[in-house]
Amino acid sequence: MRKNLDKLLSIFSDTPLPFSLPDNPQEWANHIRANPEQFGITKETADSMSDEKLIQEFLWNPNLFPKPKAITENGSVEWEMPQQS
Amino acid sequence: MFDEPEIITQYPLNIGLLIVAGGNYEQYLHDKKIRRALLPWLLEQSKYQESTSWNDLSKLLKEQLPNHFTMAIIRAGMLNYYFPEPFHDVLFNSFQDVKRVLSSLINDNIVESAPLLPYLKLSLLAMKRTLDDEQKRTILKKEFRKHLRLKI
Repeated sequence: MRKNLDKLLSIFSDTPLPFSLPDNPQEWANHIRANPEQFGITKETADSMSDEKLIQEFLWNPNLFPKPKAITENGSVEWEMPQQS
Repeated sequence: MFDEPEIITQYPLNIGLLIVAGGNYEQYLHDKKIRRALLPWLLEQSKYQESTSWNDLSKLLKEQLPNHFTMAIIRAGMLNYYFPEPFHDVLFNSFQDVKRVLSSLINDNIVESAPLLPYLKLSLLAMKRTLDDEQKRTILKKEFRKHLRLKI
């Protein structure tokens, strides 16, 4: 599993993450906890959550992800990108 | 495919439906006609997007449809590691297809997909976080063996 996942990740070696997140997922919880409002999570909520719950809260927020908005005449998709704080 | 309410109700409805859809989609539906007819319904039911734009998208982007569904599978896979199907699809069943699609998104410089690339990377890193956690990895392997009868 891990080998195949690494192969997929290597495709994105030059792609930046959409948020100011560390490349190491193990550091995500600390990073989100340092400034939860940036990710649409209140500080009180963040403080009451375990690291795992906090990351889930972050990843489940649909407002942080692009949504298909319209399709142009040539068939391309216009995406509504989330507003970065 | 919706005969397991006890599983779906443990998580937000949209995620549960996406995961079920992702896990069963390639496995059971091979007919393109059925695939195209069912996908808009699944996406609509998932409430991933409240509007009908996913529906329009799937109708118009005929050949690119698998790309976008791949994105849905990956996103589903990153959100809940207790369901093995999305992981299995991305990393085993459809691995070569996923690899080809993701490579083409970057190498062919498909403009419409460019804004999504960082999010696809985020999804893969979230899957990595799951695999790096021994407890979660054990659960995932157990589910693989249980439901997919696969040796890892």
